[in-house]
Amino acid sequence: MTKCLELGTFGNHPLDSAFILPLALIRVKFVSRQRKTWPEYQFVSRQIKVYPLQEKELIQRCNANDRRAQRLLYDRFAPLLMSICRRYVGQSQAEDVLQDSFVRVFNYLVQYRNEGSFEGWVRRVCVNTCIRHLEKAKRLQVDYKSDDMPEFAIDATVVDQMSADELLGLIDRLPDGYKTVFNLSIIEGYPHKDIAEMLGIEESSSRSQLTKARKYLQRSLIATHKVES
Amino acid sequence: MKTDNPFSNKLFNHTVPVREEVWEAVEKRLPPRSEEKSFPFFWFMLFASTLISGALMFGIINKKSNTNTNSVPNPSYTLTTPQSSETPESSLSQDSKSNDVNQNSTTSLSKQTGQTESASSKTGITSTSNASSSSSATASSSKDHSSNHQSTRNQQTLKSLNQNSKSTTPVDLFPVFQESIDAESISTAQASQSAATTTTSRVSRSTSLLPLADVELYEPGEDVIGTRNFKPDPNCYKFSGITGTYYLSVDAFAGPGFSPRSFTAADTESSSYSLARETTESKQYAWSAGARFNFHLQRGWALRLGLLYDQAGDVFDYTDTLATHSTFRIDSFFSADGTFLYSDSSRILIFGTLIKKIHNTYRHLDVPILVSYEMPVGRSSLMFNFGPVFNLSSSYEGQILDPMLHPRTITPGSQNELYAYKTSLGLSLYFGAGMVIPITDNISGVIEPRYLYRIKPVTIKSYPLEEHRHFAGLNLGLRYYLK
Repeated sequence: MTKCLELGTFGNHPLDSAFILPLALIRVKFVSRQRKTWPEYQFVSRQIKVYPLQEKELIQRCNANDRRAQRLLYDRFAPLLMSICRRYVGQSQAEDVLQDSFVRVFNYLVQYRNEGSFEGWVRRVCVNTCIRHLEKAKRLQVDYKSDDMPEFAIDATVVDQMSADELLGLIDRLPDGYKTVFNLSIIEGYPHKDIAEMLGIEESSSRSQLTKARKYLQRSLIATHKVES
Repeated sequence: MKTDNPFSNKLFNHTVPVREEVWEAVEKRLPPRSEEKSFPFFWFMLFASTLISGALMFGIINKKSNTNTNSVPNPSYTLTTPQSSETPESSLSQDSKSNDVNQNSTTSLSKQTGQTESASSKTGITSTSNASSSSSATASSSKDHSSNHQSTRNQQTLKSLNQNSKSTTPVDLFPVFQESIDAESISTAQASQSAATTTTSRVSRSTSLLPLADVELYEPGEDVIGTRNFKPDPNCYKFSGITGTYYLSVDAFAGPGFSPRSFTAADTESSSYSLARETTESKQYAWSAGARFNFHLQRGWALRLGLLYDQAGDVFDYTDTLATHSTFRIDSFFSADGTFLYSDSSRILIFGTLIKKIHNTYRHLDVPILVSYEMPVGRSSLMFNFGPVFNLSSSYEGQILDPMLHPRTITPGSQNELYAYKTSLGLSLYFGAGMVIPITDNISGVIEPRYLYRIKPVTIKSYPLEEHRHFAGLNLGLRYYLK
């Protein structure tokens, strides 16, 4: 036995052999830990560079409750989901809903079947979380009042000239019911049938809410345009 | 996603920076890191190996002390007459070669006293056995001198040995002295010498080699064992030897444990299911208890037969933030005079979070049939147990996720039961190593780390996962020897 401890000639005495088993166990414990953690550091740095190619591996590691992989996935999607949450629930509660969204993403990641876009799946989870949040807060109320106001055409160039933050501000002013349908239909691109299922309303109600949301936006745009001009 | 819709174009992939505190809040709500469970056996294995190593070390020390006492050969003395052809010096040198202790002591002394010192004085200082031979062999030498000042020389020897402890010649750290030969023995030796003629007679004497400090004198007829308060060693009769008889003992034990679990999935869908189960179930406790009869055979071998009960507890922690609860509501409408008009039914869907925290229990009752070997280590003994274990019954209570990831009960006889587990697990293997420490004449303490390896999965064949559950535990108990 060589000098494995800085204690002089350890191993020469017959009694030293009695310590071999515990020492070997301690060595296995710490060497195995080093070997285990080292590739994970490599993995993190590699993932940052070529993320799309390693998406499956990232999901597997997140499922295995690997905290570094979870952080990586969070860094990748947090800004995008934050924008979604802000659009649906507003600036004040966006962070709370973002937290809920990520907790649900990690909890339900085992159900992701690698079918379709992973980003689409994450967006869907986030949107569902926003809708549940609005439902719990009783902010999702369908407006059944008839609106006889005529619909004006929106000048596309006016909207094009507006920045994303200005558009967000414009959407923020919509009532929650209108805003949700508008977000789902116009920005996310869901058909009215899916929107009706998600919100638990009739398909016709979804259409009417969207029409009212458009009119609301048109009036807001006209008012803004007039003020500016 | 590029469309004609300016809202979608600008906002679909729009990003907003997020504060770092959000991740910290998310991390707090995630399950604990999996790294913490990387080596669940480490502390158990370390404890077991330390126990075994300690026992081995204790055994080695004991063996060494026994070897120190027994390895010194019985000194033999060559009594020669002055008429012998050999010179006294040569006969003495042969004597010193025949005795390791004397040889070592002589070598160390020769460095101190110098070459001019006579052989008789060397041997006289070293041991009284050589003193007797020198006194008998060389009548002209200082026999009286050596006998009169023997105690003084012994003290000098001690000092010189301590001073020469760094010499290259191996010197025992605990010097062993031969007993002083009293006047009676010297006279016996002289009588033998007188009886001897020209032939050389070799007399072997067995002398007990004790440290000087331990030599105590007792009056004849004194009850030595009684005054020293010796107790009978309860371990003595446990090693019956070749000619010994068989005997019985009973062990009763209980102790904490750890029930490691693993899932084997056949396909990717099942792997997702196994992950979901691992996520929702966490280990909480495990313990075991048992009793066994021991048939102690010859040479330390033993057979053990008994009952072994182990129980493991898990926590099924399930949270569904998308849970819905639907109820049907029937509203009946009546006129003012009580006539039924119509009824309206509506389905109410309530969104909420479903939280289930259920304690699952896994119980096993087994019959171990073990072959054991017990090795004496001082007063204690080290034992190694190995053998098959037959499962009598297994029962389960609680809830787990079913393959559709819905919580289902596994309690037998309950409604909507998920048939996932076997009620009999067949053959398992038992490995154990521990110590038996005598407490009284009939009772010994038993400490035994052990591992129960279940060969077959605990789940039935039709279940999509193969779940293996083993048990690592520490038996702490008592052994009673039946007389």
